[in-house]
Amino acid sequence: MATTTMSDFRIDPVSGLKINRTANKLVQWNAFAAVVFLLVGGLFGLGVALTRMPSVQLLSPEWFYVALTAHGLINLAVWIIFFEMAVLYFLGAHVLGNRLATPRFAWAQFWLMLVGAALVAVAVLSGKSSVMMTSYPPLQAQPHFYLGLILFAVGALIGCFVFLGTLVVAKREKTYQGSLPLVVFGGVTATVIAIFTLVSGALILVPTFFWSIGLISHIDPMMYRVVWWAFGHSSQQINVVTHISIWYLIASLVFGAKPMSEKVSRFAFLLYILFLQLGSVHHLLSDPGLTSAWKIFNTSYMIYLAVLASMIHGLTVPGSIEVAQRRKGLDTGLFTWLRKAPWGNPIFSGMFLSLVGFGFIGGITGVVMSVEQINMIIHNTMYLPGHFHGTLVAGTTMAFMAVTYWLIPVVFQRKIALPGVAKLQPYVFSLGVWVFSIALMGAGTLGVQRRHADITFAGQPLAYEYPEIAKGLMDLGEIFAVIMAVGAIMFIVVVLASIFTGERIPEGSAPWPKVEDADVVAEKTGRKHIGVWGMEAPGTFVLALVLFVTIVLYYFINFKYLSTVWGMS
Amino acid sequence: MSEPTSSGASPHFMQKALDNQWLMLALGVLTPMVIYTLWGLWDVINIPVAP
Repeated sequence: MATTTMSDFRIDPVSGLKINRTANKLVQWNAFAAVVFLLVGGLFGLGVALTRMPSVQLLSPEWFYVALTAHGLINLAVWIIFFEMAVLYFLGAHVLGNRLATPRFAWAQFWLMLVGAALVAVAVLSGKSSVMMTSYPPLQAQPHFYLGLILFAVGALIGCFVFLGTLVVAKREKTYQGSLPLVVFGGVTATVIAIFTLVSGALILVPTFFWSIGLISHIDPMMYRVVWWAFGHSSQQINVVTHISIWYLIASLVFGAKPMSEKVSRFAFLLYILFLQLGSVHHLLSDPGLTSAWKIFNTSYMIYLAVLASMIHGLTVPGSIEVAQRRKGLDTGLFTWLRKAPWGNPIFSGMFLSLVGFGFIGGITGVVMSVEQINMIIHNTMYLPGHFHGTLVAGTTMAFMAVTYWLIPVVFQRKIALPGVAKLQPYVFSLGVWVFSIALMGAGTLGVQRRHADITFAGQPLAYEYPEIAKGLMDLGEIFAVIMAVGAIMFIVVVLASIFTGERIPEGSAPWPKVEDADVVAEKTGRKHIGVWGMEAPGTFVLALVLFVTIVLYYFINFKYLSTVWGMS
Repeated sequence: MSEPTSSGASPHFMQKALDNQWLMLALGVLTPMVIYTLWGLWDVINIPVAP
């Protein structure tokens, strides 16, 4: 058994957490690598956006596919999974006042992921592995493309088991009592989904690597698609769970809020563990070889249980904020608690924009496109990039950015530099991604195909003329992609300026003022009954109803649209 | 095993289950592996070969 001494830890003046120094180094390096990859992937994304803008068309088709492959892999996998490793180590070690189970393995995780990402980057930038993120056979990349992905996945798998081992250490050394805190349980949920995801990735990428070096003669494209999407889509579900855990964390940090019902929130995470990965099926709803029974059972029955879980989290996180605000005295009207929330604090504004963007843009469209019939209207169109920028960028990336503003003082012991830029950044970034997503989904609904450098098909034998409004929507969307890029660059500038030039927070300095627990405030003031209409969180209830009505309307609008493109007589 | 609650009572079985990360791991890997991956591959394997 490893021995630890008090000198292995420091008490953080910002959060009050007991921080293990070794674990903290790993959190720092994983988070720093994540932000660097966000910058690199984001620049490729800007190249893609400026090429897809019909009036600009920046890159040649060859470079477009290089940029699209690099952007997809770096931003969908590398930035996010490095950040998730940082979050897992933070939850397992710092939140529980614990040490890491096996720091050497954790360093192996970091270096394997870094070397893997570098190998993939070399393969893609050579221009000989422009197979896009999905790398569907018979498209074949260079062997080191697949090898890089395998090393990256193995590294991440090691990180997951280091986290689980760290929880075992915490229990054995009694660094917490009773059940795991809810936010750490969210980390367990993300880890379980990550392990399923990474095992699926290994199951399909190892034979594909053998195929690329000639040891296997054939990869069945349909089998590849089934197994690859267990990796490709589930990897995005790790993000969903991680960013929802971050919502709970920020609600507690900024407002001293507690979940409305911890039991219900834990049950919602259990529903994720069981069913969230099944969302992978919506990529295969137009594949002819798979039975309707498989498609419908997974998407129209099981996945709705995961959607129920998302709606629970979407209700309980703002609900817990509302209850906390009301207990602290903001107990008038329906939305005073929200109006008087700290909108100038990027930790809160980023988190709330992530919640709204994920719910209304990424969430609603994801649910509706999982219906087999509706999926036929938008399958393989620009609707898909619009949808997943709504989940991954408006939701996950925004939440990760928001929590970074809190992590920098805690993990890097630096104050946030350029606070004025940080205050504006969530608004600029969210404005960009929200309009970008909606415009692309509009273009996709009009039939604009994804994965083409030029929607006019200029010079092609089978030219197709999209309506002018589709071209206008593409231009509009990509203009807002530039605004999104400005928001991302603002974030990266603030992070790098804070880490390298921010005012140092000395060890042993006076503790920062704490946000008071809402229950404690309510007890002090003798406030027992809050809310209106007999409800503690009526404002959140109204917001949830707005979301529900939007889903229903959007669902029927899509069926109406389907009836016009698929005439019945 | 979960520890007894502050009242001394044994925790609810659901709480015990949720506190067991290895059980969560087994459920979270086996459920999608069976109803998504294996069933999906079974569908593909059973596509009749064109004559």
